[in-house]
Amino acid sequence: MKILSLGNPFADEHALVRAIQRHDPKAEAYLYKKYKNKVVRYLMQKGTTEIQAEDLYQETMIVAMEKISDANFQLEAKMSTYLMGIATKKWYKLVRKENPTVPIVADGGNDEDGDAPTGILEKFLGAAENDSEWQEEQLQVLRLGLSKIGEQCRQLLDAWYERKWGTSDELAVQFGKSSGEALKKAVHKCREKLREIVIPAWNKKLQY
Amino acid sequence: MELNDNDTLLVERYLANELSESERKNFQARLQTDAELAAYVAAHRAVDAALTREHRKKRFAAYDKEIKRQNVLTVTIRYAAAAAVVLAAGIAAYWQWNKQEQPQLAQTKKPAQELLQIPQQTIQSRENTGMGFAGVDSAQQLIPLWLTAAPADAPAATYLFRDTLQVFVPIADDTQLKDSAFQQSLGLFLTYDRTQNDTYFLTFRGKKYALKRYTPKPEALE
Repeated sequence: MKILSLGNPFADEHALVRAIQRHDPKAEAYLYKKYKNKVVRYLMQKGTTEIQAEDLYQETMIVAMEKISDANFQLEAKMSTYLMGIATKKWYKLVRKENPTVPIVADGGNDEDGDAPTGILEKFLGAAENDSEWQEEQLQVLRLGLSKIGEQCRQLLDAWYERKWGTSDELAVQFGKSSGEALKKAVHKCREKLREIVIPAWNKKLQY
Repeated sequence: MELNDNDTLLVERYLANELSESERKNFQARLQTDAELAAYVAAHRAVDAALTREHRKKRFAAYDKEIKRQNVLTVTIRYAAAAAVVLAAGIAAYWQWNKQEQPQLAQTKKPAQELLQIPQQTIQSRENTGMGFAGVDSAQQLIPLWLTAAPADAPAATYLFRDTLQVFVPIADDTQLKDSAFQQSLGLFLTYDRTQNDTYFLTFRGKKYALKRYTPKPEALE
């Protein structure tokens, strides 16, 4: 699984996975850009429009990045195969949505990798992963929550989630914190504020 | 639920995958036994995941813009490269065509260099055998390289030599020199003025050069 293309900063695909798990920003950008044209072309060959294919690719990469970022993730096939697998499931969901009479097939209709969601985390993440509409609803609640936690917290979370892959010490200086640890505590407090707003709202939406 | 500073950092490091293998196992074991902490961490993880997803989407949109820019650049470079190839091919074809258009100096079966070495005294000769003319003028810098050969449709064995500025037109009689089609074929104009010592003049780019008659040595021309 050696990556042969020019300008590739990673020795092989396993190194790429490890870099993503270390939150190396170059790894995410590299993965996204490297496979975009290939996966979009593949989806268009399946009959999607270019816009649909690009949306599906974004959804594919959201799921892939969440899975790859998990420290326990092991790449057991070629990265392109892995991404195509997720993309195929996303495409199948789209087909089923447009035409519910399409039968569910073993490797296409069910894109959960494990058991049905049970805990709160699984309930949120699982729902988000499998249902892009719910994912969008969830993000709308989040955006609303972000507008209610105060400008300073919002800016801190923005900076943290955009640059959390850089050094927290550098970010700490920007936000007037004494150290990276102090910054992490501040981030935690801001996320706690956000949690208090969004979790009840998500729960409420899930009940409907 | 209120966490102490240590647990707060532990949760943050757990969410950021910064715990060592043993720390992570210990923390996960703790989550198994502490339902309240587990629910708290799960909620934070869900918010963390949503925030990550939200920012990822923004970054993905930025990557898409970069990819589009790169694609446009790639297409532009491809078109530019294709245009360069076409241009180069055109230049090569023109050059080749131009080369073919030039009369074969080898018509005389003599190397060009040898032809250029027409003895000066021969050029200066006033003998008129009606065989040809050689022009020697001070305008050496003005006659361009392309004039070193006559056009393809010029009469056979018509040569212009830039280096010595000799115009040699081996013809049967002088009348051909006055033929306008023939003059045009040379890209220059020859005029004859009997009143001026039977001199032929060559007009090129509006400038008039006197031509001196000469008799080529037959062996130099074969």
